Amino acid sequence: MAHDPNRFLPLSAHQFHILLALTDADRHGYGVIQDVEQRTGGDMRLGTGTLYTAIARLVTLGLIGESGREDDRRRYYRLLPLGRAVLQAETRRLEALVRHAHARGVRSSPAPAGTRRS
Amino acid sequence: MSASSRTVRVAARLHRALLWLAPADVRRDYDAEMMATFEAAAGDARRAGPWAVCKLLLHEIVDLAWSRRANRPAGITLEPHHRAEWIQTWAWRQAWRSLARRPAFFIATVLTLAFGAGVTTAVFSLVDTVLVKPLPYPDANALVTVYEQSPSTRERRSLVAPGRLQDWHRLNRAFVAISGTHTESLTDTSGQEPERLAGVRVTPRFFDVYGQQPAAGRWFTDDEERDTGPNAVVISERFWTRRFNRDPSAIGRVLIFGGKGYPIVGVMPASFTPAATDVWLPTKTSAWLLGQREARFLNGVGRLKPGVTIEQAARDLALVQEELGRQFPKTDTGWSVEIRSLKDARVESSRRGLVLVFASVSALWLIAVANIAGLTLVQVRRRARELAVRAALGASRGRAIAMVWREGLLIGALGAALGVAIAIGLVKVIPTILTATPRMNELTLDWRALSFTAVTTLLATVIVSVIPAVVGTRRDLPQMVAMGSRGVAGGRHRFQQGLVLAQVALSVALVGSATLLLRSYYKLTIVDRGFDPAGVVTFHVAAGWSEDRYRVGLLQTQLLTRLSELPHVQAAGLTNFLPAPGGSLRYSVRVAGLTGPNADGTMTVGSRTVTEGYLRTIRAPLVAGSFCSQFRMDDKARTVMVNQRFLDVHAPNQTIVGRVLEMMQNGPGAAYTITGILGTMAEDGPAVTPMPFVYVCSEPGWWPDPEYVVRTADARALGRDLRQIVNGIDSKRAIFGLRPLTEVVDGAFDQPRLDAAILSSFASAALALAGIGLYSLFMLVVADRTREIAVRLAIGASPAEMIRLVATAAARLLAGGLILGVGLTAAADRVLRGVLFGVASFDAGALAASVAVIATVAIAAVATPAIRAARVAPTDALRGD
Repeated sequence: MAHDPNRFLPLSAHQFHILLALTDADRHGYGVIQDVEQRTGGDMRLGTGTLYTAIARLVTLGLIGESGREDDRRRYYRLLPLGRAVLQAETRRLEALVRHAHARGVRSSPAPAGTRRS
Repeated sequence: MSASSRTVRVAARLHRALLWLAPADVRRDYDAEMMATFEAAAGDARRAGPWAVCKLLLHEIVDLAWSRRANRPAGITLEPHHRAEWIQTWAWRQAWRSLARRPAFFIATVLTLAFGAGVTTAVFSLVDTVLVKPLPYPDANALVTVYEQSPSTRERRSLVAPGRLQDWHRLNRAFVAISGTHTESLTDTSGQEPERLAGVRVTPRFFDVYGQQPAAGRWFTDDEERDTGPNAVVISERFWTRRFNRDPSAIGRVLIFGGKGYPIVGVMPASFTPAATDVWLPTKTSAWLLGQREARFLNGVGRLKPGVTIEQAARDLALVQEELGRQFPKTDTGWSVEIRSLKDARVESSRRGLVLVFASVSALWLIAVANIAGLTLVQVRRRARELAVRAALGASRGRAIAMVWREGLLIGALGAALGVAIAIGLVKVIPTILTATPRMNELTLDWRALSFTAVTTLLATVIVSVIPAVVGTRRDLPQMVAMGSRGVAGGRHRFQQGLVLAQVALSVALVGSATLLLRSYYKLTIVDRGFDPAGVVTFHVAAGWSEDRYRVGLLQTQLLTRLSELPHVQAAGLTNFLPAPGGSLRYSVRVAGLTGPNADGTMTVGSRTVTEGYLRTIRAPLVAGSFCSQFRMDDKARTVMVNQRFLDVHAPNQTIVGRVLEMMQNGPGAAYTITGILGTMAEDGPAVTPMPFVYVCSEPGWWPDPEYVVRTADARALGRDLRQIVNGIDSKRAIFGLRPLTEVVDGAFDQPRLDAAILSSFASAALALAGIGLYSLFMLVVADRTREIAVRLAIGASPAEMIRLVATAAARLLAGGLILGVGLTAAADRVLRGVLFGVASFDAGALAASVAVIATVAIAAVATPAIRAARVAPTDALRGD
């Protein structure tokens, strides 16, 4: 079942953010870097190494595709339908995880002192 | 172009160079795009300044390096080759992190390796260039120096007379060609100011001997070498650059020497001459001079025929000379030849020093590497528990070894890279420090040096990675740690103990030798030279041997008279050689009523040709009699003075003032009257025991290019007045070499100072290494004996006893090292004796000082492990390993 989006889960944070950057527009590599950096407030800064390793894999897996060229060196990428489905599936998975955590009273604030055992 | 856009270009280039870090398949499909993206990002970062670009680049490097690992899509099984790649990356990253957690160890080891590799490589280059590589001439191994030798007068090496040199060339069978040279200062008056040039006069066939093509133009024609032929001059590349800015049209221009024009016909490449030669001229030896078989003034040089050895050539030329002895019995009997390889002649003086430096540097470097291995071992042992736990969890020993050697490999690689950078820097700096060493113009860091670095760092890496890996991960380690040790001498740390012993010994020898050299240097500086160089200025006024002696004499007399009239000048005079090393003319003399030690009743003396003004200028002490008679043009009564040493050696308790002295070299009848005795002065430098000297009182113009000396209260005013006076006499004369006499005579300290400085830095390095060695050894000992120490403390031993335990072991090791070191110092004695002055080569004071220094270092190094031993808690005995 090549088209079952759940088969691609979980995504790495890099992949997740790259897919996210392509939801509203086609972008070239540097466009993705800028979008991710702005959206995360500088928390995630992609370098060309991680970016293109991820892009190469996402292209191979058929999650994103080439949409055109800005010049002979820079390509634009767009989100393919499968990519969008994977993104949704990953979001659903993450939401579920968060729900489970909240149900057990785990919040993003630190745990009370003394509860941690070595 | 702004600085920041250059930063972007450099960053882009670096980025491109680092792209190989990314996975191969990604690179294959996306490399152009990656570059474009980085350039865009760098272009934006540039607006925030060059620093932002650097930060971006750093981020990129890290990102590229870890990109193989990033984006590992969880949930999708990795293909096998990806997986292996990932594990590799992860392991390297772990090694890196493990090192980064111990920055002191990491930085110390990398720097030690880098300095070691850098310095050793630079010194290797130095030795290779000076001693090993052939001279920079075609087939340079066939080049030899050729000198005369007179066994009967014990003259080992003499310059060659031109007639004899020509006969040698004509009659021999072993040489392609024999030629000769002599140096000559020339004054070129073709420019605005007269310029003094360093010239070399060459006899015919000089070019055949060297076989070196000119960089431009040509060599002399046969016609130009004939004594009646046209004038011509060949210039050096240095002079060509300095005067003509490398203009090809310089060939054909005319230099003017002594009022005659010399067209420039060629330029010799910079590598051709080791000395600062400006011009070459033919000797143009006249038939008359060729007949003067006692006029020895040429440095002979020859090229051997292919396959002829130096010994064969020497035999051949000796036969030729024997034949000449039969032909010219008056002048040529009793003379023989001396032939040496040209390379040996040039580099002989530096051989011993260079080999010594290379040996010391290599020894230090090996020890440094072994030390790093020791330190790594300490680190491994500290993690013994971690390794044991890993082993218990099923990690193989191979894994553990791989983990340790990966760290060693990282240290080795970083050290090698930094080392090459250090070597490049050193090779640039060395020629400016070792100014007296030959062939410094040839020194570069070439592939031989770099392959040397490669071999040595490979060796180093193996030592720092494999030994700790194998020793530190022994299967029985946990049991060994649990059992405790039977003591330092139990064979557990034999490798390290031996190492530390060697280090201590080497430190003793080096510190001891450095102390000796420093003391020797100090004693040199306080030697009483017998004269007063302070306040004396020396200079040259150009004049050549080919000039009319009467004219030159007039110049000298006028100049000295005018100088003495200056209000700030107390005395002025001239001498052929200043009292400093290098002016060692030796003559045979006969004194009426005395029998000298030579076979013919003569005695060998040093000689200076001086004026009375010179003796007054340098405040030479008058012991008996009177100074030479006044320097005058018409003075025909030839007089000499001798020094006190002459009296002590050859005529103790006699009065020789007023007796007649014959200078044998100047032919029969060259008789002088001894007018007085001078106090003994350090004529050959402070380090040399003064020998008997004869001071010949000069006739004007006898020595055309002497050293002028002036005692003045105002050296600056003198420079100005001097130019004016010389212009007034002859405006075509160049003045050169104007400097204080102290600078000349203190030149004798340069070598001892350099020796002392080099050896002191070795000694410091050796001390630091010995300290590190002691520290790492005893850290190991204490770590391994923790359990034993804890038990002892638990049953009532005091912490002080534990300190004593460590201290005793350290003291025993130290004592062994000291004894070995004293032995080494005694062995170094032979090498040092030649350079020491005023101190015995085996000096108890110096030895005591070095022992004290080493003991201090040892105490500092062992303090931390000792304190650690004292702080062991008794409960540690209960803790299991």
